Amino acid sequence: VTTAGPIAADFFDGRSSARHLVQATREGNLLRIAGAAVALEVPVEHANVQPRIGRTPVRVLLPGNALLLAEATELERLLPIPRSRGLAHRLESHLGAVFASLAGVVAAAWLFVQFGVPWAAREIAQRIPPEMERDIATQSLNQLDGYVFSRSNLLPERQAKLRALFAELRGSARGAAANAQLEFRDGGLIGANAFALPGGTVVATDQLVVLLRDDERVAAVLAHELGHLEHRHGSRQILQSSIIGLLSAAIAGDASTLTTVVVGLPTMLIHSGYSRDFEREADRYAYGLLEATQRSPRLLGEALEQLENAHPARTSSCSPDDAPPQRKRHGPTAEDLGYLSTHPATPERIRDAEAAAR
Amino acid sequence: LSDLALPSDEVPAQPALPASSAAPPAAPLQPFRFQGKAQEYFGIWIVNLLLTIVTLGLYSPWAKVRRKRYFYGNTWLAGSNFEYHGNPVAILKGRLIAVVAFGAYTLVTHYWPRYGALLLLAMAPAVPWLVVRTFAFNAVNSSYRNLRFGFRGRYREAARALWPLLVGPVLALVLPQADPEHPAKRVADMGILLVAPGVLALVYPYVLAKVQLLHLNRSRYGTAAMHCSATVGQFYRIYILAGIMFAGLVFILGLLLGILVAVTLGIGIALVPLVYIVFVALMMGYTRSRVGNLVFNATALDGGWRLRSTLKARELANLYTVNLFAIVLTLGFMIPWAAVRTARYRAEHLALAGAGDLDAFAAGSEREIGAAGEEMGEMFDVDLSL
Repeated sequence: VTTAGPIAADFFDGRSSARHLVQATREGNLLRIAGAAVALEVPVEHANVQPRIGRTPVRVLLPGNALLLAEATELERLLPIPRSRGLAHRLESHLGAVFASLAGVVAAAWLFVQFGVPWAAREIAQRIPPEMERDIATQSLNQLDGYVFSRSNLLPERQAKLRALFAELRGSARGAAANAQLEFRDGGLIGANAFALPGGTVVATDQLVVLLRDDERVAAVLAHELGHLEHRHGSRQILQSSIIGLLSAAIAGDASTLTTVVVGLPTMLIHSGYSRDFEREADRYAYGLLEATQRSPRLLGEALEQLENAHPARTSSCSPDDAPPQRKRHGPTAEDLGYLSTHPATPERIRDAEAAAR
Repeated sequence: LSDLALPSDEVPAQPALPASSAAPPAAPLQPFRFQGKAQEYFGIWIVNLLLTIVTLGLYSPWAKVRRKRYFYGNTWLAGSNFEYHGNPVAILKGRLIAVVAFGAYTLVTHYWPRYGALLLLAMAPAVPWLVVRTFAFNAVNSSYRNLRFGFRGRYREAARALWPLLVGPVLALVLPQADPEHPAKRVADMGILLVAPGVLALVYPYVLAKVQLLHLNRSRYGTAAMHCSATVGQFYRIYILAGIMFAGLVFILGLLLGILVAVTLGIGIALVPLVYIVFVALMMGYTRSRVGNLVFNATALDGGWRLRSTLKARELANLYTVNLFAIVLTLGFMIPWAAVRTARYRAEHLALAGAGDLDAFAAGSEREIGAAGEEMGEMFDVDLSL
């Protein structure tokens, strides 16, 4: 009969919190536990050794809710300690491999955020019934009417003229933009701006019409907003935020309250990256629509330039989720804030419009 | 709250000496110790992270169990360590339910925003259940010296603690909506928007106090019951001071930042995150140390045991500041280090006082608890711990 031990261990009977200092010995197929008030023998197949974690004592579950605790280095002389959750424990002893695969995973995650999430959001958004989106649009407009907007003061003739232009653009559009409606409002605090409300409403503020003067340029901005509608940017934005939110919750769910304080930043960066992509997509759509109606894409560049000059802090045409533009002229420009900005820098967009015009 | 606090349900306990100097002869103190090492936990943490990402989050319950086992297992009292027994499969089920519920909530509030408040009200009856189940799941899956903790709180008690939270959604439904025909009323409308958050801030200390009291008064270690003698008024004192501190800090830091922005825009903007970190660390250091001391020092366990907590607001704020900077500057790689040193600080400032025999506790009856409650709580960000 082979014997091993004795080793020092703690024994708990499971009925009380009494801690018994014991000696454990292995004799053939038996585990013998002996102390001042303890004497028992357990067949080793009934000694259930738990996977270890870190350097905490290893737990050996014994019949009758009893527990033996011993240091891993001691216990392994008596009983084999299972390699916990196999993979996790093995990885922990190969941190080099962990770092290598982590780098791979980060790269994959980047690809996923860059292409996977936008793709999934686009596919889902195209299957959302327009009636559902329309409901949101009505509510958003009611809210804006309640807090920010007032009734438009544009002359009926001007409104009619712009509506005719809008109808012409819409005539060349297909899909979600083909049934769009145009609304005029006094923009109040928001100033010169235009919005695409999901479900098919474009809102232009009086200030925008007055600032741009030339109705053709207003039409260029409206074409950009039709691009937001056509590409379902409203729904895609909320879908992308939800997907990113759920994923980061799953990954950072393991983090602590303290770290969630700083987890918001990367999420915000991803979000503004998506917004910039939407603006570019809407710009490209506008170029196409302008050309289809025998206009120059340059009109959009000119309109953006005028808006930029009027309030450099922000560029034009926001989607409804954007905050009201800053009014002060000395605020940081879109370029200063770089990645935090939800819109591409205006000079870049103006250049793109010029390029599209050629 | 996970890593950063000693899970309070695993702490068998008693209120420490009252502040008065006429204290009875000091009972022997058994200090808590945390023996985790940052380097060692880093390995566990990074493997957890890797496997969680690779499995698109499905591994996260196993990761959570490993993390909790590490932190409980390295927390020592009187020669024995605590243990965590949560079943990853139970946690996974809970998490899946929570993800579905959260997804549904997000969709409804986006596509039918006017029903958001109604939906919250409809879900309200589930919240006390959620709270009770969370405490029960954590308690039943925690042990010390092979004896499980337990929680016997009732739905009705939790409802009594939580009802003031209903004011938010109720106000949102009752308060008049903006009237587009009368622009003159708009300023008043904006004021109405602030009513609900204001009321919520007023009731928050009450809810927090009642939930903590429910937690501790219905917890047990084996068959030994816990008692907490803290009062709602004591919570209000802490939070009123925190409110004053909040206003003062916003004023001072805002002024400082404003001056910097006026002088040099670039530096001013670069300093915003720094100021934010210091602000968060100061507020968290203050409230957590005060609430922790209040609750622990008022807690007793059958058998003449009391807890003694000696957290210092300034030390905790320093600790949080350094942690946050380290985490930000290393893009998160110092999270394990931060978690370990926070756990060590908290353990070193907690002790068990009593002349009795730690061997004398008897086992209670335990039952299995599903994890849905706890996982819902985490998903909806119900931070119930200290």
